[in-house]
Amino acid sequence: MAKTSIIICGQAGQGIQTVCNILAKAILRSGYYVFAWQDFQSRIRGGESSSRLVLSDMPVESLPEKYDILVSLDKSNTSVYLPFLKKDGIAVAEDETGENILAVPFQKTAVEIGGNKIYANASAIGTIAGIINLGFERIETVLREEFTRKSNEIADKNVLVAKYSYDWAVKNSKKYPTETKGLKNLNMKVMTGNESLALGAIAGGCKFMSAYPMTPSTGIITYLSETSHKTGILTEQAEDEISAINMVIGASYAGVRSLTATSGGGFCLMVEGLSLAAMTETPVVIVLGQRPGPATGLPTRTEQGELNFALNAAHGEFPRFIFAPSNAYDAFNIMIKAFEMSQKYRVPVIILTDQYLADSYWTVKNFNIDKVEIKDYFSNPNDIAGEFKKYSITDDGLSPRLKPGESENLVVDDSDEHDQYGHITENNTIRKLMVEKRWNKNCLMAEEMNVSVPDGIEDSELVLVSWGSNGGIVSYAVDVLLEKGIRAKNINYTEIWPLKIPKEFLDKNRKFKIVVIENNFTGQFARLLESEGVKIYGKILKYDGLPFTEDEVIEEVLKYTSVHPLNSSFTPIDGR
Amino acid sequence: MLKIDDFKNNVKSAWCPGCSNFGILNAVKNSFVKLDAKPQDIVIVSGIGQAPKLPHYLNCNVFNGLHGRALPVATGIKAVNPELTVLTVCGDGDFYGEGGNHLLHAFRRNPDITSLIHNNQVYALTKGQASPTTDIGVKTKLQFDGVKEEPLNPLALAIIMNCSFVARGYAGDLEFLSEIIVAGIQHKGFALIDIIQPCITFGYHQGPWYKDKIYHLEKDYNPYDKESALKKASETGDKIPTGIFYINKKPVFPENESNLTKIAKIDKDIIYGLLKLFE
Repeated sequence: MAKTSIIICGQAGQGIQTVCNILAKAILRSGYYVFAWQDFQSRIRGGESSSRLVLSDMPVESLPEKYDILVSLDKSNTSVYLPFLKKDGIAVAEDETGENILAVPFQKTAVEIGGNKIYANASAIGTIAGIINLGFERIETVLREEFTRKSNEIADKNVLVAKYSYDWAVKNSKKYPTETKGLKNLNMKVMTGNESLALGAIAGGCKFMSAYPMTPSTGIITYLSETSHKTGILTEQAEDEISAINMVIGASYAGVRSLTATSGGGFCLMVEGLSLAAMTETPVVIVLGQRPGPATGLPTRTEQGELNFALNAAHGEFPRFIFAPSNAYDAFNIMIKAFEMSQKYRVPVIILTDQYLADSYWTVKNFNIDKVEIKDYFSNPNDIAGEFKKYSITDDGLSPRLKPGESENLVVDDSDEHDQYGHITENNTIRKLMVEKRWNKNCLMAEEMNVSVPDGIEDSELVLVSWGSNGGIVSYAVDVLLEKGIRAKNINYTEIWPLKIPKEFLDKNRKFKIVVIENNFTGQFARLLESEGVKIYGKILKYDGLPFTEDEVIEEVLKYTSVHPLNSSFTPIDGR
Repeated sequence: MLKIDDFKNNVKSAWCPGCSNFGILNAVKNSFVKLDAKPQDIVIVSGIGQAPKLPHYLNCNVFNGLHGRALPVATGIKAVNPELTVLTVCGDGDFYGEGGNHLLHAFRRNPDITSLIHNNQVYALTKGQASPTTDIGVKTKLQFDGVKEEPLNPLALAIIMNCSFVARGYAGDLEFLSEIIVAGIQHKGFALIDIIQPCITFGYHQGPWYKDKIYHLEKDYNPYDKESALKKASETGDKIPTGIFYINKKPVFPENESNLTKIAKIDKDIIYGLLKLFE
């Protein structure tokens, strides 16, 4: 297997993400799978930030503990990131020499060849491409695509600087061991989780999005705004998250599919609106991009700390859907499902993402858009007999829905408890019936949920359960464990609520142990499973703001297996 | 031609008998008749309180949402279906207190919405606390030593912010109030109509107090002059001007006023085109 990992570090504002983005595209076009995660601080300039990029001839969605190549654009960062380098790895750094460090004059090249130090990142791109023997033509094409938008001159200079550095690297660096040869065209795409969610919204028939910018979900409205002239989607930056969700509720009441996106703090403000959507049975889709809290926490880092919040947010009792895509491919399809489910059942749908999913570049296979079915869940006004009862009591809780202004039928919604016509009531009998009507949908909603159970799960020794963006990491760990002779399987939950439990989990005679892996302190998903009667053997938890690495997961999982030397004295975590 | 009765429904009122809200309700109905607006084409969005119950007593589309949140909901509705006539009906606590931030941004965003604010200078539904427009010194069940904060001057605030349409009406002046509401609805852009609505239960100024003080802005008053509008909005004391204080034509939100409820799907070719850029 050809696999190369690169860590590119520098200060915020040096264009590290551009380096990563351009390399990712060029790598994909060279026939390799690529995955890249952004690690940055909550600041505009300076500090320590990095892009971590993996190219492989096998699908990749996770990061290693140590890297083959370190590229440091700024002197102050080199020592910080050197510990991430493998013993036999290659480091290239501005103005620095040392064991295994190759001094590369990024700035000097930028000024001498390009006439401006802003081309230092083009120099880095060229250098990396030279070291890994990536054909320069692909780099040139991507650079031109990216910079011609600004001007031909800027594109030319980027190419000139990159080419100079490419040739320099080929000449000066020792040859990289796993020489990368162009493979066949993968016919895939590379995109961030946020871009995929936005594309899913477009494909899912979204027409309106309102949001207040908040890391790590801002990328969704950015992409929808950028493409709005093509798609006709209306986007609006709201004055706050309260306004954002209420605008979305208004747009949805009027009859269009609407979206908002935020993070934990913003979701707090939206919670009142979440209840309003539930009470008025107005469909809304909310992306909750998790980051470490409480309060502002670590605003640019990753965590899965808001599952309980998503499950329990809002006053009163009502059903909801919660989804958590595992990668950018899933994100697209889950967004479409979210819109369908929200429209069908007229309930809020929360999509849990996190910084790892939202900001990473993922290799994505082709979405099958021709198969996407967008159904119209509105009633035909001609089918309404007598006065329109928007909240008519039915066995399954679903009532007719019309758009205001479309016919003579009036659409009346109320945040107060209401009668079948939508008007305020304090009648206790109607209240009881309406609570039941709203909840009755939950039975049908539960049937819409899928969880993928691998074949032969009964014969495994360990079942690793994860949810959301940990899917790729755990799946890689399982591959490695299998190679070590450990009968491990994994189940990654992407459709969280209403919760579906595989029957094997509840089997009293089951032989496998369940270990839950999640990015939080209390093991929220494990507790959710436990509350449904699933016995959990152990939990692997991480809550330092960083995603799990492959090696970390493997090492931790080994502690739960028969082959681990510590096994005899090892006590699994019973939960906190 | 529509009649008053076309806007009546049989929902039982929860207002105090004799409340001046009934006057405003009649003025709203009158204005709809004058505009010959069909009930199905009107959406009234309201918040929480006694004033926000008004749309329930009208035959039209209704969204009775949360305290302070009528404006964002109305903005969402109007943005996706500009063919609807959208109004908000709120109280002073609802609109100027809880919803204050949304009001500031409605001045900036300028959606084509007409906002009626029943301003009785008191929180009546929660039994008599001060509101953002209560005068300094007024003693209430909660402000035992009298209100100490400066009351909000919504008209002056709106004018300063170049609000598109700024007016004041009086609940006891039905005909004139109807005219203002008609003008507000006809105006393209955000229209703020503050309505003096004495609370018969908790109000510290009862109806008769206003009778001699309310007057109509002079016939030759020019609502396009910001300076005089500000001067009029700052008038306090024995005379309380009513009428259209300020009109300022400016671009409305959203720029592209297409009816998004009528476009069912997005062209798959557009999505394929966008996806191509990620290869």
